[in-house]
Amino acid sequence: SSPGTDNRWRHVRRLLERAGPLGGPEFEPDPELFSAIRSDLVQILVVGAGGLGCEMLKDLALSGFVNLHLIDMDTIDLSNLNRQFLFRPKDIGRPKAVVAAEFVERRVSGCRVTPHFGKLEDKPLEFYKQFMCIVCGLDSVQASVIPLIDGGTQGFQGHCRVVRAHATPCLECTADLYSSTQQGFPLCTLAHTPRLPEHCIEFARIMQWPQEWPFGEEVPVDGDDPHHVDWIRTEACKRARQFGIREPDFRLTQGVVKHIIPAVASTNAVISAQCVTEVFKAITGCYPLLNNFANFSDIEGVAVNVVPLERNPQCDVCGQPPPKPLTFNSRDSLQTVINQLKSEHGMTRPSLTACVEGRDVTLYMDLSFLRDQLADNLDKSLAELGLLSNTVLNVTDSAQSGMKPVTFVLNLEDGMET
Amino acid sequence: MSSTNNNNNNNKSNINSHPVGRSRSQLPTPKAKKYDRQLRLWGDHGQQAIEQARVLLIGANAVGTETLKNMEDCGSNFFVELARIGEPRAKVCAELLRELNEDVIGDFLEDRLDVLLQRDPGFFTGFSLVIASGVRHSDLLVLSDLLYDRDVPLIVCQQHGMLATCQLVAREHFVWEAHPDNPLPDLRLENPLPEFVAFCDAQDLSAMDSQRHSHTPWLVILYKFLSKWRQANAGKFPSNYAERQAVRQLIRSGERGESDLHGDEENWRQAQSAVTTALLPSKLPSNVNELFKLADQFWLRRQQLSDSSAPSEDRQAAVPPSNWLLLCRTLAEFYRQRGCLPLCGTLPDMVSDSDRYVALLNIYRRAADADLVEFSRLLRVVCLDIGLSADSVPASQIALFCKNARHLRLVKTASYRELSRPLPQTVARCLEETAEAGPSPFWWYLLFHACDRFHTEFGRFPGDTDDVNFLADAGQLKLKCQQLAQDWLASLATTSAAGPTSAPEDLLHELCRFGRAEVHSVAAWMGGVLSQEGIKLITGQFVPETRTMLYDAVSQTFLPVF
Repeated sequence: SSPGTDNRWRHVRRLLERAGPLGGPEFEPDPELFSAIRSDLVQILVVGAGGLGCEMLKDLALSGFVNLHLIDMDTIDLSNLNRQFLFRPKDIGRPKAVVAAEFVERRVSGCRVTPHFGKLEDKPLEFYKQFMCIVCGLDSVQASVIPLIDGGTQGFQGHCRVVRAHATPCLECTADLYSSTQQGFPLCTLAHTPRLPEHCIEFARIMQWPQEWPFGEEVPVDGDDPHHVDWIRTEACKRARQFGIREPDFRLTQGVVKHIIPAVASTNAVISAQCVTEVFKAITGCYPLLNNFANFSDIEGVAVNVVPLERNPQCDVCGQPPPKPLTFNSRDSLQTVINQLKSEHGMTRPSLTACVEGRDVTLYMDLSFLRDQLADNLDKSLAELGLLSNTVLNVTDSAQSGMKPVTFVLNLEDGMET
Repeated sequence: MSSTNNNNNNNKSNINSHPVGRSRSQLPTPKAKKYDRQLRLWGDHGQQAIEQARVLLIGANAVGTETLKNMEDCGSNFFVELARIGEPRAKVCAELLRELNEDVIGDFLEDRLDVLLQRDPGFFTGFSLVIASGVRHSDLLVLSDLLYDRDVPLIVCQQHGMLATCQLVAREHFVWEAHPDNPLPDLRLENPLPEFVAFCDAQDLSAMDSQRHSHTPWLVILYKFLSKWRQANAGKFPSNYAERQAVRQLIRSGERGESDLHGDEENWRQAQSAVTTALLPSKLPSNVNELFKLADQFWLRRQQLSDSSAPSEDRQAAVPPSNWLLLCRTLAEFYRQRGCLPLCGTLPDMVSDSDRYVALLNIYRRAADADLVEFSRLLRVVCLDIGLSADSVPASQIALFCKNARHLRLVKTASYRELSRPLPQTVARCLEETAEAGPSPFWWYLLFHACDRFHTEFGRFPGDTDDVNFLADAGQLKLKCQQLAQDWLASLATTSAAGPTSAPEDLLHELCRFGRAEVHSVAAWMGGVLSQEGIKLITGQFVPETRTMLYDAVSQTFLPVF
């Protein structure tokens, strides 16, 4: 790389090549570390190319990362042009991810951004496996093994959190934190006792629109079409006048119809930056990660508050303790495993299932009528049973009724990995 | 992410969308579309203030350019760092985003700033806001002295690696709209509006059918039972928790406890919960009381100056008061005469039928309008009294002022000169308080200043070298730090009792490690915060942070230094 480039990254290199007493416990400064974080091993996924996602992409690029991926399912609309520097009028109709990727690649030489135009939910599990870290501008990613940094903003408030499977709450655990800002007014209020301009707007949108189909049969409300919004506003004003309520203007109407959350560049900048700092820590290990949820608000003064959220033990998604490792040799028999479960893990009559080649397989059930059927498995080696390292075993104890399954992970000293 | 801010409960639509436009066609202009999301936060008038403000950024480093970018997104007009005067802003902006090698600009800038402060101080005082990022202490002293008395707010910041400090410096900044998260409703229940009383008296709860009963607004219910309690208690207003609970019990006794077609009596439950906030005795908020004192002092001084035989230069110093002072003076007068602040006029949403809620809103709005008329009359008298024209303050500003009367405040800080030289007692206290978990913000702050002294002597920052032996700088840094601490403690009688003046080795080492690195994500974080603080100062909305703060991206904390 040219001297210019070296100089450009000297800030980052200082952190990676110099030791410091306040660094992460396992951090070893290394002149190779900078190239390492720019190698193909380090791939980072940014979810969402909205206000937050674009800032995160930019921050990641300027932090020295070169293998970035960006996924978003939207194309650029007229109303997105306030997303400042990334989108221009000529980009209308093109996928956000594609345009954002092009912009960053142009501005930060050496950085490669791979856009994915589509829904995250449509991607297979394999898709995630290539990434060392995922940064999120949307909360729609399920718990995964790799660290997930999640950020969200609303007006002058925001949060940044670190999600690591089994160590911190998953997104599902704390779903109640993300309480909806949807204005769900009771229908009887809308229909019989409206009091606010918002009630009149929602009445027009929910009830009058499907009665009158003002723009064609079955043509739904498009909050981005000013003519649709204006129709709703006109009807809402008529109703407001009828009840003596203050008449709504266009801005309020569109805000209600689109459930607009006010947004401002500064909060997006803060939260994105905080997330990217955590990504940098996660990848390089140079400092300990945020533990694990940070709130931000700058309405009155500026307040940052870090909370170590605890996992919800009732959580459907992650309410399990981390899997304990079981170490064997691939030639060992299933019986050996069961013996160990009895002797070292307090089980009396363990029953095991595992995921083998994508299917759930019952290995052994210590229940009277099934004991014989699966008895053959006991003498088979783990290799014969198709069990590899990193296979997760779910174990229940028939002697303890109502017990939740305990997960173990298989560690085969000689075996192949899943 | 939500702070459970339920929009329908505090009528936020009042703040965020003043009825725009008087014409029928209300399709948004391109600009309104572009800034839609942020207009909902600070309104058209806030946006206008942002676009009309002239902001000077000194410091084309990471924090500076990030702050610039965020504020420009909001429509600010920037004067971009001195080294680039005259160049098209878009070009400079693009370059700044791409250009990560600021060495040349940095050196050039510091020299220029120095010179320019001497040669053309008037250049600086013409701005609405100045942001100084990574500027040397000696230059900041001159800059602040220049700006402070002319009431040009200054934001100062420094970054060293994973750390950054910031400080607002403003002699006086008036907050017109604080936008508190959950303001108490302004109901005047201690001295109820006559129209409100008549409205409530005309309703007979016991005679209502279940529909009417379960759609009576809680405000009416609360008032009725409050009156009942007051009659039984020699007319006094509930003054403590027990008494408020007594009123709540009375309300509960009025519930019918039946479920009708329209659900159970949620309005009665609302009335009971409202007891905690609606029955608090009203008192003058301290922030408003402060404003009254300021206004009175100003008028007194003015009076003294005009009465005295002071030389005319001094009398010229009695400049016409700014609008907010005129308004505060009037507010004090209003309060003296009426025993209350002008009525806000809005009501929270509540379960109710349409006609009664609307009727209540109208009652309160009419009373607020009447207070506004009265207030405006008083203001005219105040203006004429000191030789200003009767309409010195625009009507819209008077209305805004009255609406936010309870939350008005004046924010102020000392000058940079004072702030950057903390009191010996403060220093002694901070030195003694050793942080239990990790380095304390004060030590970092002290070290930042020591780095500045290091730079003054050696022409570079500690650790800012390609030499592998960067830690060698730690020794000199330690010395500078010690000298500085002793300097700050100098006037204390017993400096030795103040605790260690020797910086912890860890912190010295870490700072040398950084070598004043500009870690991008840390700069971007600070840039986000500073841009919002800038907007607060320009718009007079929301409350700025006035303390010296330190952002530590390692622990993700943002803490006051002292």
